[in-house]
Amino acid sequence: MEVESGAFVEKARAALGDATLQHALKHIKHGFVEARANAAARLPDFEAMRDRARDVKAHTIANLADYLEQFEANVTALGGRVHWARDAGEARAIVLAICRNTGARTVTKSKSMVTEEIELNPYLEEHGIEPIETDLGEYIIQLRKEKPSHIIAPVIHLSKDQVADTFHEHHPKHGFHERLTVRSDMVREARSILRQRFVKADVGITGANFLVAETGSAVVVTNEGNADLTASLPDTHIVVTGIEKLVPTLDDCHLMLRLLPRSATGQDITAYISFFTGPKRAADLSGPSSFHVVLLDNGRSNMMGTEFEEMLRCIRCGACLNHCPVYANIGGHAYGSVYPGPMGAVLTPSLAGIDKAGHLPNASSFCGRCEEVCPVRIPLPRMMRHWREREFERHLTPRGARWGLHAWAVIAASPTVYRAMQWTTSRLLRLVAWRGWIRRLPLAGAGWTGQRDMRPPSGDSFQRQWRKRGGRR
Amino acid sequence: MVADDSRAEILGRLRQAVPRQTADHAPPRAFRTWQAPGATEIQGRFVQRLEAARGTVEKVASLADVPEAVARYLAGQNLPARLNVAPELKSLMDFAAGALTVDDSLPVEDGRVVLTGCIAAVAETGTFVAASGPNRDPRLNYLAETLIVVVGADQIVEAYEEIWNRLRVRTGKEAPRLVSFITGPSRTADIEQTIEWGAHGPRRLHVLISDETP
Repeated sequence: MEVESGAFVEKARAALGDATLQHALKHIKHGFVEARANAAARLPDFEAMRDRARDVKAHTIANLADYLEQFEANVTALGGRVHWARDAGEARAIVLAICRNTGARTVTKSKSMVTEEIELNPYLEEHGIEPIETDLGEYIIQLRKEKPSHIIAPVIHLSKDQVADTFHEHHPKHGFHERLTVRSDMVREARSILRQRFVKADVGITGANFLVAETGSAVVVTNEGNADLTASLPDTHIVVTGIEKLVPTLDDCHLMLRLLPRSATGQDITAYISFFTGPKRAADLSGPSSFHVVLLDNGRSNMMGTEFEEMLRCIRCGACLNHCPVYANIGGHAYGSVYPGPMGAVLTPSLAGIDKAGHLPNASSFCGRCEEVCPVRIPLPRMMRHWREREFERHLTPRGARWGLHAWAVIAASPTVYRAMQWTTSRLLRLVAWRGWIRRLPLAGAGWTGQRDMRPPSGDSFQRQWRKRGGRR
Repeated sequence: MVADDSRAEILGRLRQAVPRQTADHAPPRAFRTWQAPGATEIQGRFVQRLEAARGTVEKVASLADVPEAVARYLAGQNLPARLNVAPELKSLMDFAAGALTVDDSLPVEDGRVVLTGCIAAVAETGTFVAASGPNRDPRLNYLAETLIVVVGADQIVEAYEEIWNRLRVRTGKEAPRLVSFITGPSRTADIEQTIEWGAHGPRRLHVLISDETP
């Protein structure tokens, strides 16, 4: 997994100054946050369902090996094949081998974060197979040679004008020369181009939102219907997904399916939810004759038994991104990982190593909204704190921050020193204020005054006021 | 073999990390799901939810009335009276009656109309359920630009879970290759979070509820 999180601070600063991006990010609040709140309010048992979903996923993860074997046995019994991949390289090689066995030249794909994680597209291209993304957002970023900036809304960072320019640049070779400005015309043009690609593709690759152990089904959720065309038109269907996507039963799956769209886009249900179970049966009129499921580990099994195990419950709804004040201000690309936002801040270091992704768990104000909205109640802030501890233990924290933390430890451990420091600091701050405002501070304080002025402390500390009033517990 | 090594290693790591747990896995309790205010009977709820998802609905008394209803709908939408009829419906009605031309080529081009049946429908969200099978071709549901679905009044169930009872999957029958829950027309909100209809599949979804089940 390619991670460019080392440049997080610089990228975040650039994102804050990018007017187009800032405008695009404003859509999150209306599009996702309000819609989720309304959808949750319409469902009487929404909170009880979240509890149940947490328990079902926790149970599944604790017994994951058994459920994976049950899933595999059911897929195999129907004539499908399950492949196991320890890492991204193995997963890519398995997919390529299946494509080569069928003599494939083009592959249609529906949106899959796991194929982003393993960087499947460049690998297939290098080996002479053309991957075609069919989700509209993924199609746009494929044309722009970018990465998705959101796990369910890949081009949330782009404006309509940018998309218009991209189509105008790439569509003339398909016979479309006009620069379109109306959104519905743009969708129609992309539909028309992709329809031809769907029909001619040799292999279809989808991800899976869930895998059902009791039936061997792969479940895919979309609004466009592109996964269904991807999985129904070519003669080979490959599902590429992570080992943590299991649920035991169909009933468990429907519970999850009631939570996923409501948490993600605020829809009661997406337009399409499809259960794919094995290849086409002998008497069926249509469907692929071969069905493969590639199960990817890539660091997930190492999370078992650690303080990050609960992260394996994640159903990739994106609610934590949508509700995160950091994500809302900098967008997804600044994180330098295909998994951004709070879930990415926990998952990326688990998959790629804390040495490569140390900035991410620090990119949080610990406001706790991510945990509040998580449909499977993952304690994301607590896990980010665990990563910060590990980073500190391994001496990966920058020296300035380490000294600061050591100094703070000394001050906070002694009430006398703490009070003395507080008294001195508040006097000093009042001294440097000019007409009620502090305009510039040194050291860590520069982080505040670099962007805005600060008010000096107004009077006595809380502790002094408490004592003066004779306060007691 | 490398593949076997990978399988053994992944399963081994999972088993080693966590001792097998016998945490109870009770079936989920019956949750209260969305209730349409006002509509008490199941068909009313189905219609209300389908319309909320941008589908349109019309009732017909019998399957014999379907061709005429289809012809009327297409005329109302200014669409040509030409359509692909899904295999499971073909022998059940007379399309000449509605002055309709049947074109059974795969509806790949823009603007094609498909008339299809379903295996069931779900009141909870106004959803119809398509499946693969010996006389069904679910591709038609995704390729059409205008999709007309015949739903038998007694095919409507309350909640998603009941579909699997109808398919007898819970009593040992294998699941079909494809079971697809479809709610309203195809859509995308990828460009500036604004919904556009007909992303890849149908731009229009019209449901005919028939008192007679296909």
